[in-house]
Amino acid sequence: MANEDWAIVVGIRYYPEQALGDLNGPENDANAFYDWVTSPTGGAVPQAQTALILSSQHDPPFLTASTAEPTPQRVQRAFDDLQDLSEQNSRVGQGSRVGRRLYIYMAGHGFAPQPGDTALLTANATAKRLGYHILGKLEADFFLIANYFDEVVLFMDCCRNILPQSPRILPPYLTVIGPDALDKARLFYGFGTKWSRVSRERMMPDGLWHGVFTTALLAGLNGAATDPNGQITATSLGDYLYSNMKDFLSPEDLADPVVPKEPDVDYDKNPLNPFILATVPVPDFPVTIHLPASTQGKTVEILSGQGLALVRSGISVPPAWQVRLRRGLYLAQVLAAGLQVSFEVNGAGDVDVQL
Amino acid sequence: MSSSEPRDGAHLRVRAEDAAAEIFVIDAHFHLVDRGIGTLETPLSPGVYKVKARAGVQTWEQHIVVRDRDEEVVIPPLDFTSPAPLVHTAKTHEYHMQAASSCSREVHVTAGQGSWIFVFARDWTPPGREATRPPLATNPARGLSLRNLQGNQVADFTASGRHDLSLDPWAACNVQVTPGLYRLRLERPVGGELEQVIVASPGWQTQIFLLQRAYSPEPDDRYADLPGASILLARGPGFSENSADLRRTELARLGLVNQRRVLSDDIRRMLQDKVMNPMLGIYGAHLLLLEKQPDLALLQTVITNLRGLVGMPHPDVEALTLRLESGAGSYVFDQPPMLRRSWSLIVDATAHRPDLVPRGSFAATMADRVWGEGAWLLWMEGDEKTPADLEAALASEVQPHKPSDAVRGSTRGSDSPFAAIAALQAATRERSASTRPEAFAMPAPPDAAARLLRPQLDEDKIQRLVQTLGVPRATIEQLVDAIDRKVQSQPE
Repeated sequence: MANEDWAIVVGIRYYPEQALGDLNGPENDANAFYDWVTSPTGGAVPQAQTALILSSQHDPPFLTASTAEPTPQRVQRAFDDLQDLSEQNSRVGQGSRVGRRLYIYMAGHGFAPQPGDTALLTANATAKRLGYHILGKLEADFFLIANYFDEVVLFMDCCRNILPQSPRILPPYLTVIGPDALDKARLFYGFGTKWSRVSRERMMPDGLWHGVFTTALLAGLNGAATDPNGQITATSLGDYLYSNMKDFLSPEDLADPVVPKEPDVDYDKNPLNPFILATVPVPDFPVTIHLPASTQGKTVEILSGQGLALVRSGISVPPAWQVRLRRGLYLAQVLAAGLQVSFEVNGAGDVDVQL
Repeated sequence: MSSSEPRDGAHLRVRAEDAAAEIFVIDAHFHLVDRGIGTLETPLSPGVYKVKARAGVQTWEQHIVVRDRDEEVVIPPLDFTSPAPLVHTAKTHEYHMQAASSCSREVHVTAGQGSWIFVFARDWTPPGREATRPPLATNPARGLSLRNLQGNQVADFTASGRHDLSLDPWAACNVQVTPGLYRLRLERPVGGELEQVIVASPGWQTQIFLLQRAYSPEPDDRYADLPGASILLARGPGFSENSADLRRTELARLGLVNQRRVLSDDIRRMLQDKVMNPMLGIYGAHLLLLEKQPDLALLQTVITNLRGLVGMPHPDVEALTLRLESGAGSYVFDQPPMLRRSWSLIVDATAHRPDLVPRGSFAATMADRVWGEGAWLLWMEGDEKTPADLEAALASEVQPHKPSDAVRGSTRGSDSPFAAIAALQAATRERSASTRPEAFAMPAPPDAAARLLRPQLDEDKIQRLVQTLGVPRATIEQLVDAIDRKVQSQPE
């Protein structure tokens, strides 16, 4: 099925104008998403059907914003080509459908010309030239409503500060309503932040700068967001992002009331027809239970958070007990020592539990 | 209280000290089990659960182990973000609270009597980030003034009142006024004048709290955040940073801004109270209208109470009556209300009652300059772009196949960013070049009579335009007439 899928991946790192300034994370994020979306164990989109658009493809540094790439035209070209494909298909009597699923990923500076919008600023934008942008959701809406794709998955990791005096540049397409738009079309839209708020990037454990939303997203897509059946559904990914994005924030950002702790996610919630984004083996994660000396030789147990069933037990040998557990809530206890603590394996990394 | 399917085990009772806090109970597989506002009681089977609360964008979490006994969780007040320097909020300092409290009890400008409008503008820097904050050139109230309905200045908030720029800066000014409608104006050197209506009710102090915001990426374009303002009411002059009433009111505003259904049973009870805070009543009534099946009997009670409390016709209260069968009576909205949601109620009602917003009134002329987001109805004075945008939108509604002017052209390079498409293009480039159409046959332009909008607008179209464009019927009719006059004056 993934042979019918397409992807547009955009990472804009360099913004020559000082008021905007360069970012550290978008190219790393776009490359990481590209790796996932083209991986046979991830999105499995053929590389030839994946457009990767990066600042570094255009020989940075750029002297001025006017000469900087990528521009809106360069990004729009990828969407135009898909629209051309649709028209070609129509001309040869194959209908306007291009494929099963379209992935759109965008990272860079952003803003919202209107509440609800998310605009990715392109490299030639400046504080006074905010018209150089791509409204990702409107592009996604067009391809979904037109039924050029059955499913559209959109991720945007950029700020959404509302700047209502700025121009709002629409995708250049006439609205087309596909015959099956209501019955077949399914979407998952994920934004790094609620509208009117900022998005964050930081140095991550891999030693590279990444957007906080993208890091959480890729952790989820790489297995942390699987449901008990090993499926990453729109619901399980949405739940994961809502619950866990905050775990990737720096302690300072976590304490900062200005920084949102949750993304903005919209998806199909029909429980009878789950939107399956990927199927992967259910991963487990390393957990270290730190054991006080007083527990030496006593039984230590880990109970499942669902029903409090025993999932692991052993004899305590301080100072620590290493186990691997699937994502979930658990209870660790040494009843003979009167010690008990609940903990969470959230898929965001190693877990340390102090009994 | 909310309920879910009965399970073996025990009951979990959760109570938030903030009545408008949202509560979520999440199971060990991170699935939502139950949710509530302010309080929640739910039966749970044995296990580990996560109790999560949200107030504004602030969240709080705690694990709870449920065995065979009932459990209770009390959620402390959450440090949500508010421009009002209330205790247990995130972006405030003791010295901001003290300044707001003391200055709100002074009178700095006397321009009438019977009511007060207090403005407290301030900035706040996260701990440890003082060095990265763009410095404020002057005080945080710069550009702010109070105007009467004719646009004449009543108070200049930079020149009057008190301020302190030594730490995170603040500026305060209390204006004693005659009850009525006023306009709060923000002037920026670049970007025009932003305005909103402020209602001063007899015996009440309208308290306006403002943090700073960037209006564009330019470092100097940082001014009082009108869209994010907190507007509260106090009986007589005096802000109380400890007031549970004001805290509840502020959480209701945040619920409205974030479109969260945060109307708890506690707040419902307060809405029936004849001595509630009027702002809580107005916010609460709008929250009521967010519900799938609004309790219109309760809405009627709230409106009756509000009319008694504010003591004069208040556009936001009268707007609420438009959702009742009895309508707004004889009230005419020649001035806009304070809240954007009130304005939406008025605009929708004009589809059937054009007289609600009279042609030529300030409200009708302001309607095509509405600006920004947030709870408040703001408009931009002197914004010449917006009417043109509206004109284009109107034309495209009437002639829906006409593409918008505001579209981005596409520069076609030689190769597609998709390798698959580039290969396809390379194979077909010559063939496609030889079969390219010569030119598009352009239809002849229609004559002036056919281009007139008015004859194309039937009652259904007008009503749809009111809803899609979000402006009153009078504004649309004015605009249609203006466009048609332009068309008729153009040579064939």
